[in-house]
Amino acid sequence: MSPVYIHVVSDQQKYIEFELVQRAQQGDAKAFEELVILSDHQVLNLAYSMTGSLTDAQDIYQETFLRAFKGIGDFRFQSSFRTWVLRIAVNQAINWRKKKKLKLFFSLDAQNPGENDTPFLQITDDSDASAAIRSGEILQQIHAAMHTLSSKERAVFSLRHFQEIKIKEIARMLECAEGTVKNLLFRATQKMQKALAHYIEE
Amino acid sequence: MSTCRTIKEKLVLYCYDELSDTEQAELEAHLKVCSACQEELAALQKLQADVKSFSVSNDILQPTRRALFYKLRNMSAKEQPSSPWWNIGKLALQAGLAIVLVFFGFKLGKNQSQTGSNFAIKDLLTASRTISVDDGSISPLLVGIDKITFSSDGAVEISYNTLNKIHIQGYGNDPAIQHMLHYALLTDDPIARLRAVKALEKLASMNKKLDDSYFTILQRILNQETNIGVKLTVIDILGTVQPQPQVQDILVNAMLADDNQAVRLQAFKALLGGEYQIAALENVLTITKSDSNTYIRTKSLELLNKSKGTSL
Repeated sequence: MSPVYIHVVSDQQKYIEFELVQRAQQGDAKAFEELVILSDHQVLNLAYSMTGSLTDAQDIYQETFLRAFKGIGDFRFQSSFRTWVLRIAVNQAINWRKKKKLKLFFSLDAQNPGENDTPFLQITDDSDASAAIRSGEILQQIHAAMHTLSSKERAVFSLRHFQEIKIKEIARMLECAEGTVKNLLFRATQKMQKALAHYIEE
Repeated sequence: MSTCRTIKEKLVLYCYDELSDTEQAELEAHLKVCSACQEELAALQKLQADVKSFSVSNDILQPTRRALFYKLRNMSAKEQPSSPWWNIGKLALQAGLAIVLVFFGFKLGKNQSQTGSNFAIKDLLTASRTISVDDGSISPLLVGIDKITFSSDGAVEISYNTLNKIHIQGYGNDPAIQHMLHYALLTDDPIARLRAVKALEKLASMNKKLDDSYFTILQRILNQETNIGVKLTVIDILGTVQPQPQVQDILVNAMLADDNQAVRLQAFKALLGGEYQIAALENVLTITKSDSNTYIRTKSLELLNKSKGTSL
């Protein structure tokens, strides 16, 4: 029996979330687990799109929720739980990159970060094998292109392009002006366009 | 005239549907006459289409989640060594169950008794309530409402829109049913909302009273609802229950502040019919005596005069 996944974004969900957070704040660990289930796929996707490596994404995922669990008492309902958790994840992913850079400095594998991860991917809109292979190639290209972005550009591009979160919410998440987010998105798009130019024109 | 850079930036925002209506209209007008921008837009759209969203598969997500839960449980176990929750978690892990509580909540709920007054799915499974769930894999808290029925003996049944139908039955004064009705009253689905207030109306007229928890929600509905029928039903509910300060406040608010005449009038009538102290309403009546509705206006004046007459 496979579980059924339902994503409802509504007042009802906000009400449920509100109640779950309150219970989690009172130390109800089960309520926290329910909160995890409501937001964790997006956290994992975000971490993956920002790092290009599944193992790193899993580390960021775990670190994010452990931090959220420890910090839930400080959550003040100024944003949704999802926004709050994604903010933690973005910061984790940015820090991860700094750490990784340090590691890469001493490493010879710098060119292929996380290359073994690609087979695990589930790619949308694919039916036949050749398309899957091609999508795998595209994904590698996309990850390579993502590496040309700065941490913040990458965060904004991941959030807006892959997670489809509106600029307004991103600004709240990153605690900066909407204009800054727009600017970062613009620069990121230009760099992506440049990095993928040869590939896209084929 | 905009500079090249600002237009380029707007093209990106246009692709992500992030422009205001006026900006969008301006840009579309510009696009009609500028072939360079048309090409730029086509290139951006191609990028968008090629850099498709991808998602980490469930096969990866599930073990990642289990690992996290395992770690969380260890952490809480250290904090509270005798926590029954941990023991259950351990058993569940040993049994190889996927600890996806929302989806397996029904099954776990059957075997455990827990402390705490908070509502949980397991509460629905106790005592005289009946729930039919074919495979118990969905939390009713996360799904839409199909219909709500109210029978003459005071029983409420809520059916949920799920792959396998979920029905929740119980008496109106039952905390679990109350809780589910709260959700129904707050749902985004206008029809489900209407059904919820109708069920509540029957409940109120039968018992002549409602649990206090409903009043905050009813106030919220009056503030936000767009369907006048729902609002009027809410007023009727408030008029049916025994007079009390909280209800009076809500009715006075509606009478003073609602945009709709019919709602104001209904609230006014509910207040008059509910044996509220007219003297206590004097301040309100001095405001409503200039209401745009004739009935409210004349009746307010009449009551004011009467109350002055008695106090003199």
